[in-house]
Amino acid sequence: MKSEVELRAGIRAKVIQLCRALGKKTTDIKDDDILLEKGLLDSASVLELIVWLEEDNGVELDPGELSLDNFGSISRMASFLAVQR
Amino acid sequence: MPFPIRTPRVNNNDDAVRLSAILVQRGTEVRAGDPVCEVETDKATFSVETEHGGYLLQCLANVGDSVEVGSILAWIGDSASEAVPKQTSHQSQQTVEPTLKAALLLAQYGLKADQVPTAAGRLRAEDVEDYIRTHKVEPRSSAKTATPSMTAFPPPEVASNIEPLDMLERGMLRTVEWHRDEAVPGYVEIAYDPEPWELYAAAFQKEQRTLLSPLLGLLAYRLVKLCRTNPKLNATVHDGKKYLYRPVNLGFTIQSGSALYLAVLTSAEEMSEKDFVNKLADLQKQAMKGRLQPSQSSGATVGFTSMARWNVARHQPVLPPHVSFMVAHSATVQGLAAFGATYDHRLLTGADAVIALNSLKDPQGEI
Repeated sequence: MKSEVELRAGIRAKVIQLCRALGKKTTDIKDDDILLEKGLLDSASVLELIVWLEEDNGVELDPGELSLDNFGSISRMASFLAVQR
Repeated sequence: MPFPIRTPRVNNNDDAVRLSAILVQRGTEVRAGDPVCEVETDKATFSVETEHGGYLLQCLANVGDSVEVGSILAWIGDSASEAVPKQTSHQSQQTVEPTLKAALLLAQYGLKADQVPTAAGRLRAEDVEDYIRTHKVEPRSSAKTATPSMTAFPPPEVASNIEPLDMLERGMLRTVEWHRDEAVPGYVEIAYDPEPWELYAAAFQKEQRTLLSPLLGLLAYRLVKLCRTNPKLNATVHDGKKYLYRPVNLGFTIQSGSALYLAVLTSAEEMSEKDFVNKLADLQKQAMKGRLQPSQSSGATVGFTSMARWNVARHQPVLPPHVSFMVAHSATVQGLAAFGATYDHRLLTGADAVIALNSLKDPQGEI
């Protein structure tokens, strides 16, 4: 089972990959950045990230859990997933 | 009475899938909804479930076989000893209905479909080409094809490594050839102010507390509503007849990695705005997981596509087979935004398309 630190590193790598696919700069991404608000990712990319999170961590997320509080930033995602398992 | 399990369409681009696993042994009892086997494309794996309870009588293909979408994959019987209907082996139960390209070649060479053998569910152009080559058939002198056939062009002369097309490439070929050979596509574009839509989507997002922007879903839902007041947007022409579709099956393009899917929300006209947006998000998720059901990847009657995420300011979509109206949403660049639409000019005029696009401009305007 991955620690929160490992989760955060994995999510960060995936976010960077998705940002690059959209042609965004990835040098200034912070773990607490709200990805949608900062325009780093669009909705389809966030959805792709969620699908990846589910498959990478073997979880099925309830639509009601998909909120900014839980999935707004890299840190929030890592914290949420660490608590869930 | 035995029930057939037909090979599902895993996505809109693949006319054949590969049998990757048989999950149930012959003679084993199964319940409705049980997975019986798995099929796959290059991009997705899909469990094939039985709609009827009973016993697996026979799987007609072997693991690793390529199986045509729609062909009988297996039989379920009321008892384990029930006989499998005759003439249903994987190879022999196929029909000889030709594809459009094959039909053109048949006409060009004066051949009939039942003359040409095929191992697939439909008679394909390559089957006809093989037959022509093997039997040294000459084209009829008076034969005219509606469009240049593939055989009319010599192969490229540049040194090449020649490979067969993969399934996605074949599917895309089918789509673009329908667009070229059957539809008469036109394209129109109008400018609009994106701010009302952005405000409408933001209010919806706040009220529904959604993580993802509902903008594209809301736009697509308005297109669905437009189809109810203008049935010609949700129609096609085939063989000289107009087909006005009863349901509105919204085709929505989803890019997942390098795969492009046209996911389909069937009977979208029956959904509320909120349900539609939620179901579309779920459909996107399923597509990204490669888990689209056959009914979720075929049968589109109208289409919506967006390339805004790549900051594309203008794009002209290809019409999916039997779709006459496909809306193109693009990025807002320097405050300017545009809706485009590819339309089948056999059924719609440019004015029809523009009127429809104008009705999309205002998220809350009367339709």
